[in-house]
Amino acid sequence: MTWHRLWNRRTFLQRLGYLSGLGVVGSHTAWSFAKVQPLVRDMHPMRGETEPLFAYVGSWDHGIQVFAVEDRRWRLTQTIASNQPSALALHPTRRFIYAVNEIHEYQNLPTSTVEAYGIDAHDGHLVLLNRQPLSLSAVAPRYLAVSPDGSSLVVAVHGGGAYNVLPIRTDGSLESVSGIMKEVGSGPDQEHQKAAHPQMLLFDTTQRHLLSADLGSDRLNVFTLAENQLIAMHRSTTIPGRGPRSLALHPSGRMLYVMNELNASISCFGYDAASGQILDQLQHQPLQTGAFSKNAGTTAMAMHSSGNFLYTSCAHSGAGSSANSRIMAWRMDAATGKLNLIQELDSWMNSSYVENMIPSHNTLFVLSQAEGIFRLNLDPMNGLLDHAVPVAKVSAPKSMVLQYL
Amino acid sequence: MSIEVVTKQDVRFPTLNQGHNARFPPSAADAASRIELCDTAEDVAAALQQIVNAGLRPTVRSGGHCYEDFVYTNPNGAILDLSLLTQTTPVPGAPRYRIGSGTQLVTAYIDLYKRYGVTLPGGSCGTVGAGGHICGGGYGLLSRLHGVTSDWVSAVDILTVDRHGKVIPRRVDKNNDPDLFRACRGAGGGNFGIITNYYFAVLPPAPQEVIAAYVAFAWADMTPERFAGIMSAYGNYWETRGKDPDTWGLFSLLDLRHSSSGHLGLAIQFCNPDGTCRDLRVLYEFLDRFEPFQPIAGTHANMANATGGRLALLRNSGIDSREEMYNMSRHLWLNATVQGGEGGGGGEGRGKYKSSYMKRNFTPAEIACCYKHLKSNPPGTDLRGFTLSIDSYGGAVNRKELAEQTSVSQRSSVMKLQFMAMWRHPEDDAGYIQWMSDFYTDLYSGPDADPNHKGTPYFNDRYEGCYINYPDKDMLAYSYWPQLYYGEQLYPFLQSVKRRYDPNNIFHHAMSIRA
Repeated sequence: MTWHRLWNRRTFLQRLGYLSGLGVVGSHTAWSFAKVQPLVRDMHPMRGETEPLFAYVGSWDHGIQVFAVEDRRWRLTQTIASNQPSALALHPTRRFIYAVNEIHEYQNLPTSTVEAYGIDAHDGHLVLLNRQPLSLSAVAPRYLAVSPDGSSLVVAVHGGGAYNVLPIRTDGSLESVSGIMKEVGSGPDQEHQKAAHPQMLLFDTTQRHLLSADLGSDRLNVFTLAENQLIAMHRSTTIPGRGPRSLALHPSGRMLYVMNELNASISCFGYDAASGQILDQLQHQPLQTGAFSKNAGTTAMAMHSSGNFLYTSCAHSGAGSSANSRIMAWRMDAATGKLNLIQELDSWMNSSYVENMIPSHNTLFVLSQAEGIFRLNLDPMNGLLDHAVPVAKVSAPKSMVLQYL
Repeated sequence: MSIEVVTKQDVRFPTLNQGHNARFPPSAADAASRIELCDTAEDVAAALQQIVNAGLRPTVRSGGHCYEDFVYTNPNGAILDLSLLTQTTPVPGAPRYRIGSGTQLVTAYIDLYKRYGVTLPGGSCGTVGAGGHICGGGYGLLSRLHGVTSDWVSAVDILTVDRHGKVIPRRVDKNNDPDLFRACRGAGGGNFGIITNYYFAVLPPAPQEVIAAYVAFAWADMTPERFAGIMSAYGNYWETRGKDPDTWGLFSLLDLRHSSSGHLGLAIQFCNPDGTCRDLRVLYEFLDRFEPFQPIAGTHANMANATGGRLALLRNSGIDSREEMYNMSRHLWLNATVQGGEGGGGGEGRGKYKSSYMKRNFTPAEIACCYKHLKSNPPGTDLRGFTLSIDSYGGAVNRKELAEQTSVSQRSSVMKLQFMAMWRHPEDDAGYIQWMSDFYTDLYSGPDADPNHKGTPYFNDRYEGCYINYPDKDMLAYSYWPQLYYGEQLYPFLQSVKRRYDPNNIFHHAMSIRA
């Protein structure tokens, strides 16, 4: 029995609607996904424009898996041993990939590691360039970002409550940690906010500022990089208890969307990219339309490159005792930042959560904890998602980067 | 009140950026970016707040004697130097005796003696700072008579950093933050906050006088049988007669040097429990046990070398022949203590240390293992800088009720072992460290080791783990290293204190309490 056959027996349910507001969400009927006519015209994009050549998936069960994408079929071509690679990042030259290992100990010390890989241009295979330990007490890092000029790697250390900077050599390998920023702070959630927990990093449209979300301290930060050290430019405290987890900047650079993990909501802030200042909150949008299952680590957010659509997922309690993720599609108001719900997809069966969502042109790739990776085509005109198509069976996928031609 | 900041550009930086072990920091890239010298506890609080606000990692130094790289390996971080915090004058409302964290032990001994006639039962290396010494247990030549220094602490001034990153000054004692107070009595430095003062309501009287003695045994004609006889006689005394309170003023150190250095040594400091040397029967009874093993008269140079200067070794005139044989000399206690105040290695020496506690005498297997390694000659490593120093222990330390009040779990041991090596050149690091590791692992892998904890002196009917003031990063290879140092009952308590008082893990090093 192959996993494809297993997969095909699954039932998808979709909540669907064209909504102007949220008040009527609960009244929409759940339809069987299979019965719904495709809403999105199949784009049949030309390879090289929108189709990735290779996909790299960080999995807690398998390490890093390399897939060759041929005619939309994903073929596993390499599996690299890597310890809990929670995040992957592609170098701007697209010649190197970096992985952060969400571990608590390395060589008997309370720290963790990052790994640098070279990419073989022909077959997409990875070769380990080197592995560097993070600073002492930098345990359980969850995210990393490469500076737009390709000279530095910045790591958000969730467990250790810190950021690390590592210079990147011209051959792609990493030098040892050059900058350490230890964070403090906490929030009212006794389970998840006892200390600072830097969670995500994002360079802004000027490429000069690095934004970060700190789930533990309810803070958003703006840093700059100078001589491979982080310098805090601006710190913005959000409403206590929200637990900001993910960030997405509107292509205009003027609006910052924040996915709040602990109360399942989206906040939209004004942002001044020129000065690197997070401005007032413009909108706040709760996501708990039904029973919200508070399960840290189960929210995700992806923005369409047009700046018109935002996709979110968060855990919720489904029928019976099972809990899973609900994906929502939103239309963004470019003037006000307001979100209008346009679609809901429910029932990611068997208590499986969405770990991550990766936007790719007119496709949304969804990483499901237990079920692997799905492709959902989206209509660039109205933002609606088509049915989910499984593309790769990977258990515990946490992160993915795509390599285009 | 001032904070003197020394950055890398400062001419003082190379001097202040190292302690007594030249292995640390291992490279310039591992070094701190600044050293902040503080005059007062208020300065320390202000400096710490700035360091936390800037996202830097603080490490703390008082005497600079840490055996591992817990202070100087701090890439681009900040070292808070407390060595100028040497106030010993009383504070209104606080327990009577105060020792500022930067106070060197020899200064504390002199000060406490001259002001009050009392002392701390602390270490013999006079340049060790009170800050790290006392909170890690702190034992010395008077510990059999009076316990360890942690046992006497009544209150502590400590700066912690709360969950919001705010520095909180606290005076902790048995009524105020008693959990943190207990943790400050033995768990070791760099874990919970920065201690700026120790207070003692009561301290033991200093002895009036002491006898120093030293005997040596030559390696040249050493046989395995004679070696076994020496070790066995030594251990036998401490597990039997040494438990009697009339012997508690007797401190000894069996100095098992590597065979290449020529001699083994046995160094003694003695006084009666009343702090005099009027009755020497206990001393002679002990020394005479070694007569069958052909001791040779040690020279003063040997004695000084053997003990690392840990004993005062000036000889008095007018002593009888047995005194001659045992190189005995009589001293005023303060003179002996102050003159012994060197040691611990200079700033240019490199060192490595290990430790263990023993509840019983040595077994034949342990003795054979020691003999084998002390006679081994690994190519390329000059082992004349190595000694296995076996200190007498127990006595007043082993008051069981103190295990509950302090964070020193080891309350049943009769000997405390320190494996120590000092050398000059970085190229010798690997050889020394490997040889010591092999010796130690071998010694604790024998038939007497706990089957589930081979390679370590894990708590059982013979062993009682290791001493946190002699930290050894090699022990990190064992997942149960915290239990080795703290015991199975104490460690969860220390973890709870860590979570409560340092929720951000601001204070951390390779062997700090893991939350």
